[in-house]
Amino acid sequence: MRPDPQMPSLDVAARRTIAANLAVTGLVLLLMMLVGLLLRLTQAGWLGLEPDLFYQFMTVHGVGMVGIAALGGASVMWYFLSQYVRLNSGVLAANLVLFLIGVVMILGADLIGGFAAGWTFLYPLPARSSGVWGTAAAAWHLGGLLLIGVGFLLVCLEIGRALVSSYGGLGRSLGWPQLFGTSMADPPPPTVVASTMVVIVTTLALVAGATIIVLSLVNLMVPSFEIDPLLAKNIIYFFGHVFINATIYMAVIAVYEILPRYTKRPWKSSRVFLAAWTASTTMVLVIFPHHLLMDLVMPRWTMVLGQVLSYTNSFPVLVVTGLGALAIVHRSGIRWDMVSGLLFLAMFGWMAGVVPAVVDATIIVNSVMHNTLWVPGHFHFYLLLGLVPMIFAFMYYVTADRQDATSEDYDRWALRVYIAAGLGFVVMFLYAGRHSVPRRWAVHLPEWVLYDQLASIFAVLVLLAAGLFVWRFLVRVPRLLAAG
Amino acid sequence: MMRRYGAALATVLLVIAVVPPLSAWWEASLVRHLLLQVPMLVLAGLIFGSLLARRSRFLPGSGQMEGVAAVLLAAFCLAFWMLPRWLDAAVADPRVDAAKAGSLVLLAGLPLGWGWSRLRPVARAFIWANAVSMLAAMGVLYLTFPDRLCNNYLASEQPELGRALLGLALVLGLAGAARAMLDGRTRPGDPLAGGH
Repeated sequence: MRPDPQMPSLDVAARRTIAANLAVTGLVLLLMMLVGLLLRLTQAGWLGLEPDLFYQFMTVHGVGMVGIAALGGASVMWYFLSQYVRLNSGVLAANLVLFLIGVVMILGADLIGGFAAGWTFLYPLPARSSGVWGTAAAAWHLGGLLLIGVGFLLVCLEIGRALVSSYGGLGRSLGWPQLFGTSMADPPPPTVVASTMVVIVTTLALVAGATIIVLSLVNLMVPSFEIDPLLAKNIIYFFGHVFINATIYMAVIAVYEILPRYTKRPWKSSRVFLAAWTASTTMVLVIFPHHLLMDLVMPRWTMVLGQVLSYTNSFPVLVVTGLGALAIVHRSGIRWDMVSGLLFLAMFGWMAGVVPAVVDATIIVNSVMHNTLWVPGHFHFYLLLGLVPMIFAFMYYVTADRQDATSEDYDRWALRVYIAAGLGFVVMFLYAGRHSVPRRWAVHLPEWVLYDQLASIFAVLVLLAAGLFVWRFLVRVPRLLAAG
Repeated sequence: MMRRYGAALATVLLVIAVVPPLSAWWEASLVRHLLLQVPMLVLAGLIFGSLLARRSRFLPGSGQMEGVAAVLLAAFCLAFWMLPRWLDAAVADPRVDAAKAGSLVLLAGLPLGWGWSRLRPVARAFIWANAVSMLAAMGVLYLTFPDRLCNNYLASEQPELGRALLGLALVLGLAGAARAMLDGRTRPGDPLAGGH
């Protein structure tokens, strides 16, 4: 029997909002992929973008991808969590409106105002452009970020409210009574546990993010007010690291919900599962110093903490999810289609993508690899082949129809192209990083250009395959709207 | 309990905050001024506001918007009195000082107490998150601003206030997080609470 995408707890308004979220996610994703392709074509010497425009595009690409990762991930989380708690879909709609306003502000600031400080807006760069962009452009960019952050904060608070109301506290929805043996009741389902983790860490990240954005805005308006750049960098990386990590924890809920429907085997929250999520909730908040390993004035203990906990943070949730997925699928007679195929690609991308990330979080490696293309290599790995396929799988899943095939031949061909070209694309980043090619350079030396050219070809193929996935979603959106 | 003692408590807070020579003692230090006298005035108004809110009835569906309007008014009033220039002026000019006391009670505390109970949990949580974030930002501002901000206070008091504000942000953040983590109560009566 085909999995049933009907979700009785989702009303029409919620379905419309989810559909709008996913449509925006898909379209912005394609646009950002196109922008990324332009960057690689420029480095390959096949396109002559001026450096100013290159860095503007790089900023737009970075912030845009983080934004749609969060929007797509939040859609997955909201959709499935609605089975267990009652959510106010008006909040999700408000988030979309704030997101779109923020995107317009950022696009205006970057492409018209010329802001090009990267998505990390590292202090004091927004205020010190050497005349490349004005104060207003920086203020509009930061204001847009603030607005988008407010939207996601509202989503987190609404989900947190629902979890507290239904379970009597986030500790309970994280499964602490069952984990610590004070309750024999059934533990909360995996979706609830994962959502709780996301709410906790994302709320803290967004509060910190708002603080540093406001401080940066004050610095823009009153340049004599200067904050400690190291403090600013710590806060920014706490916010940025936690936020982008949380997006994959939102999207992985698709694995917990869809695979059991495909295999007709429940995914239960064991004590190991609960322990893994509790451990990651704590560790993801404190490992961000691995981004600052070359800031040699950082206290030594933070560096050690950043390295050691980077090893331990990634694995608990990864192992329980990876092994859980294998166990649930093994000899289950699962039917392989676009949804299950994309989910398994996502599991591979997430698990394999963590390896170069952990390698780079090792101090002795980081001293060589820092700010090389190895870094975009690792995060493109688990975003392009991990998180994004989870969102694509969700798009196929929610628009599935009982009377119609979930996937056609051309879908399956597109998936193969996406896997092969996606791998090729990220391997080019990693390989170039291994040869110390620096990241964020608009112009590359002739010795590096071959990697860029190969990466550009792979990027075109990825874009074509992703375009097909998004197009398939858009033409089938009425099914999602009619499913209620 | 609240009805019986609330008004008395608010009156006592008001008296302690504004009656000389205590008022001069609060205002003699930047930290005492901003973190003790101002909160006492707001708290006094907040108690009065919540007492008024209990007695009043509001139209169905209008509560949330009334709450938002009231809390916004309070936020703007508080933002005004966060400006060092006006804290300084309140020390130097009794008329500004009176305006400060009056506005913090009537335009910050009162609407906050009135509006808080009308706000939905998400709006309250948003205010909490915003307060934590802005206290931290203010703390860093006071901690690092290189110039003397007030004529009536020493420059050395600014980092003291900055540290106190950062500490307050931390306490407020931990208190909110602890409450959410360890709430212990389900709310079957919550119209938006789902079963599981």
